[in-house]
Amino acid sequence: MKELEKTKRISISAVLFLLIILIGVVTFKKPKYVFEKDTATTLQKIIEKDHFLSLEDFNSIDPAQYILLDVRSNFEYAKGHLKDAINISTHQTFSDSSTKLLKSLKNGDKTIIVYGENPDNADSAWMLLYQLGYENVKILSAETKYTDGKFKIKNYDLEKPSVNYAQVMQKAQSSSGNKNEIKKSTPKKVIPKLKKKKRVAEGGC
Amino acid sequence: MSKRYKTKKFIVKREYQILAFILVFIAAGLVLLPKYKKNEGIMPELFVKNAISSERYISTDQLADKIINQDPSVLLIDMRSEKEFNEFSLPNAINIPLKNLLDDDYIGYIDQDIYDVILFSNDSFYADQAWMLGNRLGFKNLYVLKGGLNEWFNTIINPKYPDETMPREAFKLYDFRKAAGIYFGVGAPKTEKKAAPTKKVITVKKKKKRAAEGGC
Repeated sequence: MKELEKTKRISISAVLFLLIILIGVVTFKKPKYVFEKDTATTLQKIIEKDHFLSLEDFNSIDPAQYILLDVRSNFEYAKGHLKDAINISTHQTFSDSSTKLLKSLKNGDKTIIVYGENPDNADSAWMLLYQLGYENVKILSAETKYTDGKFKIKNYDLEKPSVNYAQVMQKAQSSSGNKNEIKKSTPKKVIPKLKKKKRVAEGGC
Repeated sequence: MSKRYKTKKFIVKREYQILAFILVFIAAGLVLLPKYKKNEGIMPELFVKNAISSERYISTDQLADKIINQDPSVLLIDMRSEKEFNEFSLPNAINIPLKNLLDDDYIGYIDQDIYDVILFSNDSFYADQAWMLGNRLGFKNLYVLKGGLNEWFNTIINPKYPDETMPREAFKLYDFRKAAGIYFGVGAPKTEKKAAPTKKVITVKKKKKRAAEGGC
């Protein structure tokens, strides 16, 4: 009798165990979009700086080789845009229609050229697409503006200092009558090193 | 003995082995599960949501105000190269070239929740890219100086005098920027040195002694 009860208990727990696994499998949801590139690779890519396209280079390449992607809002796009540009503003990247379109362009032979109001604007779209695994994306380093009823585009020099900072500062300081040196109290910022959390071993399934 | 009885007996006898076998079999099945890529950092949907928000930008005026008031929670990080950093940078900034962003030595500055980290470069491009990476890794408290050092020089160091038709706020802002500029070492406009006041000689007219007016 005792033996029978033990068997019963074991089989109940076994059934429960199987049930848990079954629920796990059924409810497992695969994320729809996953970053394919990790941050280290992305950083490497950024440093290489070959993901820009100046306006001159852009004008010299054959229009059949690229697809223009306008990441500004629908309104701005409706006012004016580059010829044959497709409008997917950044927040719509994951809408059904744009996903379909982007998928068809993924790693094709055409280059996707992203532009926005300025390169900063296009950068978020580029970062997103690159990390999602799109290799053939470039940023058009240009500024676009709609003024006087016309859509205008002009070149934009990235990260170019507008003036020689050190020189300007020196000049400004020497030209002033009274040099009032600010007492720079430089409290050294000490940041307690965070203990690294032990990572759970990656990999597996 | 019927066949049925035989199998029953078999099961009862080897119940443990059978159960164990089932579990082992399922465990082995895990290996065959379809491979899916693990995502590093936050999910793409959230990434976009953060990226399109302009909350990350801080204006040069706000920053100047924070520095002047010695806000202790501000940590400035210069994303430019070391050479550029040595030539000029904002007061108390720390240099982390973009390429070293994820190095072990520097990650502690970005991945923390004590300071509000303000990233800047010549314009906001590098800083923005660094912010994006930080965003992806889920770091909090990251901000970008809108317009970067170029904007800093256009506004704080060398502000433009507002047109006469501009609202009063524009003049107030101009005054603030001028004053901030002095703090950051532009130097006050040349004030004429007050010459030591020369003694003015006032000739005191001696009262002429009047001839005594006579009475009547």
